[in-house]
Amino acid sequence: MKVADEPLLAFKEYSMGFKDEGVVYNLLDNVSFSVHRGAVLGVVGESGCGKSMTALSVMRLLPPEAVVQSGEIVFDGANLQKKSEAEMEKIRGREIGMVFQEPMTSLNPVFTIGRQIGESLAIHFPNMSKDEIHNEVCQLLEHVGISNAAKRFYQYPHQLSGGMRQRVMIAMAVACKPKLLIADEPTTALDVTIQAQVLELIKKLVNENGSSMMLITHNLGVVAETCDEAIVMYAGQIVEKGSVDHIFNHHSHPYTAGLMASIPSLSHGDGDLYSIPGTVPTIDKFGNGCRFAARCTHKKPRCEGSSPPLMEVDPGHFVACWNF
Amino acid sequence: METMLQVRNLKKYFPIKGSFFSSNPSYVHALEDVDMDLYRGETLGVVGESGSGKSTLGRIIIRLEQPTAGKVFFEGRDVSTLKGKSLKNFRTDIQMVFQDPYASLNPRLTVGSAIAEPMIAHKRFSSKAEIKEATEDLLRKVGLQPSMSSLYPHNFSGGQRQRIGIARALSLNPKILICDEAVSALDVSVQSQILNLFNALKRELGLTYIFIAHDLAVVRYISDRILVLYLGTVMEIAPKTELFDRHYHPYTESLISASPEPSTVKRKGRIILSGEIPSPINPPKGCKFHTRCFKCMERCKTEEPALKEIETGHFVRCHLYDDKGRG
Repeated sequence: MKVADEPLLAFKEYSMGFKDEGVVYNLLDNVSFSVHRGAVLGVVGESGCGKSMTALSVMRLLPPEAVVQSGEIVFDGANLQKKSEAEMEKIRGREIGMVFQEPMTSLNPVFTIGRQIGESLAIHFPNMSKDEIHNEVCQLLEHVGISNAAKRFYQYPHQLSGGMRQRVMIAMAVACKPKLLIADEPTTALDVTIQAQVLELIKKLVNENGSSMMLITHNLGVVAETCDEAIVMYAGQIVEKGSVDHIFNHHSHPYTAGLMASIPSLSHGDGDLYSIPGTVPTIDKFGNGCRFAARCTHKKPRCEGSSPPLMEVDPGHFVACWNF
Repeated sequence: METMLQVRNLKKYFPIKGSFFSSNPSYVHALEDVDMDLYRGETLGVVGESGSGKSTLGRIIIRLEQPTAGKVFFEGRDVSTLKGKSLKNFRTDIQMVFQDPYASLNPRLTVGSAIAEPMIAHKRFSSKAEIKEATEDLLRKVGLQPSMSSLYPHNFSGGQRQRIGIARALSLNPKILICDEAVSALDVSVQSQILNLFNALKRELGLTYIFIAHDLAVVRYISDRILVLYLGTVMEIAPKTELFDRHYHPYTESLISASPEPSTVKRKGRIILSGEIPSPINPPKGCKFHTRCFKCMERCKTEEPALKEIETGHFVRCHLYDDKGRG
């Protein structure tokens, strides 16, 4: 029996790193969070903070140098780390769909888009006939807002615009109606007007299928407008997690605050923008303490010695900072 | 306000190689009759979606491309007639900062020599010691250590590389800096550092900027006036506050509405445009925006509106305001 409020996906004290000449450098450090059923979780952070590695960990598609150090990732009640490769193949695309950032590099240029979308259907539903798959793909294309589906079915990726390609990627990811959709920077390469269309579309599909989504992005505006909950990552650690309201209106971690103050917004005044001093440390210089300590304006002696755990400051609002 | 740069009826068509037998070649209509002025000491933001001609405009102003028709005047002189020494001088007056800090620096040149190269090419200094001193001075100006001049681009982060690109652009003491998506590839915390640097340099050196970007929030932050391009046509030009508070063109309205705001306050009546920007090879007849416009009228489909000054300094190209303002 599954409990209704048991999360669909849960990271439990998950740590992973990279091996280089026999030394393992830790990247994701004790990462714990959940994606609830029917909810959209935003994962925010700057380049190199481990957002994409979090996504690839779920899919078990980590690069060969990666090492899982400890913890587990529980999807729909089962530990993904314990699954065999054959079992994972049944989950990828069927149970968990993924939309990647670069639609041009993730689509195969020599196959028609119809064939590429139909591929996952053919693999996961071997009983479907060719005609059924063709019809289903055409419906999917219409559904993601590509008109004239019967003609588009036979087109190649280069014949489509960037926005269209991203729609094709989304159609591929949702073809089998997965329970979880992972979208890694799905709109970063798109113009704002197209970005708004694509985000609307993703939200609509997630709602219709009753699925959950993990949306990875560096754009705080996209998180505010799309997600229910969010985690903020810095150098492989979760520094803050909570509802979108917590993160945007009651953020408590100095890094979240610095990030918020750095964005020029449409309603921003004219003064100098805030900027966080220093730069993100490289993976070999993370140290044992809070990884943000070197750039933090509220640094205490304790911060460099040991890294703070996530502490609940309000119901459902967690912050990893020794100041609390 | 002194006008520094004038662009008049600028057109740029790029020919497309058609089939061998096709009698009439087709063209990408990158810019259509663009008129704009740039005032000394201001920052003019240029916004538009990909394919709107933003970068082409910058490249023509700096004379990296020749216009198909129309003129660019810099301090009263027609740029296309410049030759020899006056062309060389013009080149030092306008410099460009590019988008991709990874691709715009030569990986085999030390940062110091990349910055020194324009000064050597223009024979600014006679001795090596002077060049070294000027290079170190530039590095300091953009917030880097002078000792970094012997390092190579791969030693630097994206934000630092962009600072190097800026130092190189500043090496000939330009009057105008054209920034083509100069902060688009950077993370937000680094982006804010670079935006602050641009503002500080403007105050310190009295620079004038043309700031090309697709991010409205960034453009709003940095600009004094904003020009909105769509399919190579100027849709609206206005001072920044005017444009954001009382945008007249439906396209500007939808751009502002589509930009995600980092706030949980829900905005009312969000406009999501249908369709995509049409191909600049076959731009729509009439108003260029009519195929996606949510206020499209019958006449918009056949008749292209003129750019009209609706309020002082606020120009709009839209039939909705035909009986308003001066033509």
